[in-house]
Amino acid sequence: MSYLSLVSEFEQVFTKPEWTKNGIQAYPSNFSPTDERPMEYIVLEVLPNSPLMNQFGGERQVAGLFIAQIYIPAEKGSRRVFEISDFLDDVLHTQMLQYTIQTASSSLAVKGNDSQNPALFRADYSVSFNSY
Amino acid sequence: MANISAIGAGIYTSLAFIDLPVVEGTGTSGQDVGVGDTPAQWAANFEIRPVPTPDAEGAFVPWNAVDDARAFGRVREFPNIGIPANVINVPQYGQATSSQITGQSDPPSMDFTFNYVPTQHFFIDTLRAEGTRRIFRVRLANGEQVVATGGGENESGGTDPVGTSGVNLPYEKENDSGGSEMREFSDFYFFGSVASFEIVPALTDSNQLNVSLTIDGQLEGPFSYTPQAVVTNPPTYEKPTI
Repeated sequence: MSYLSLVSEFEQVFTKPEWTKNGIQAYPSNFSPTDERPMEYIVLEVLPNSPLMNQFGGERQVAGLFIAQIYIPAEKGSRRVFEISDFLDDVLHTQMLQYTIQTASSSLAVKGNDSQNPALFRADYSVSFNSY
Repeated sequence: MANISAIGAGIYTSLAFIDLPVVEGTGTSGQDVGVGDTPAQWAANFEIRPVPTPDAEGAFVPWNAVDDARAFGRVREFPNIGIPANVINVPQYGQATSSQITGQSDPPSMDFTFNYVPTQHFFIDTLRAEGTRRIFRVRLANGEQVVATGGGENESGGTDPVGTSGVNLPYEKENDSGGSEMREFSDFYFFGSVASFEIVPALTDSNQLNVSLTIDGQLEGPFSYTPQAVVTNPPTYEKPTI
């Protein structure tokens, strides 16, 4: 398991029909698209910040947090945030991803109007994971 | 000297056994393992070192795993390796403090925990059900060793038979004076059998397997290879000396 493979494994989730059928654009963090962003999208963050040492042999194992920042138009209510979170649950809640990642139960933190762009409303969907 | 000579965490410690019957006296190579064999003969059941062709400094010296060597793999916790004390207090009439003597030690049950993968650990329950006696090797290693591939060429350039995947082999490289250097490890051997096999499903971490091994006799070790001045000469397998 490499750090790059971790990110790739999460990103691949958002290229599959189970996600793309929802029509919600997913961007990696620290990325500025050339086209204007839609008024509803998510930004993906992978935080592999907790090393696991639960096996002899030196195999790299890590635990961490995956966060999807959910953006929807402001002043339209928060219901859509919960709906998108359910879409995310369908592909990320307690899942074995393609190779090494196992995700746990998810949670949602509603942040309110985005400080960078007040026209957007933000919530953070997060799920912890282990990569064995 | 390739026995461990400095403090360190045993991150690369491994457990392996030979899937051959154990006999009293001396064994026959490839057929059984003798309790009376030398440690070098025990080691030769796990790994062999073909006579290498001298190469450049830094080149691997190839080691091959041997047919019946088997690795347990994915060890999560090791037990105390050794024989526990059995201290008996002896009352002394007329003295304020009793004395102590060392009694006959009870053989320990060695409880190992594994990150359970059924396709990898199924053989352990077979060993338990058969109750067969085997020779086990704990290789205490702080640094990374060569790992047998189980059917193909390993990192050292040696060739491993099918079924030996995960067996730790010495990490030996040629030096600039025509000899070789080896990453340190210390081997401990014991004869015993698998006494228990218990699976523990987990919610937030990997599933686990608890296995107890019983020891029959003494624990022997620490042994390791001492490379010779000339790389084509086989290393000696011995305990540390003063």
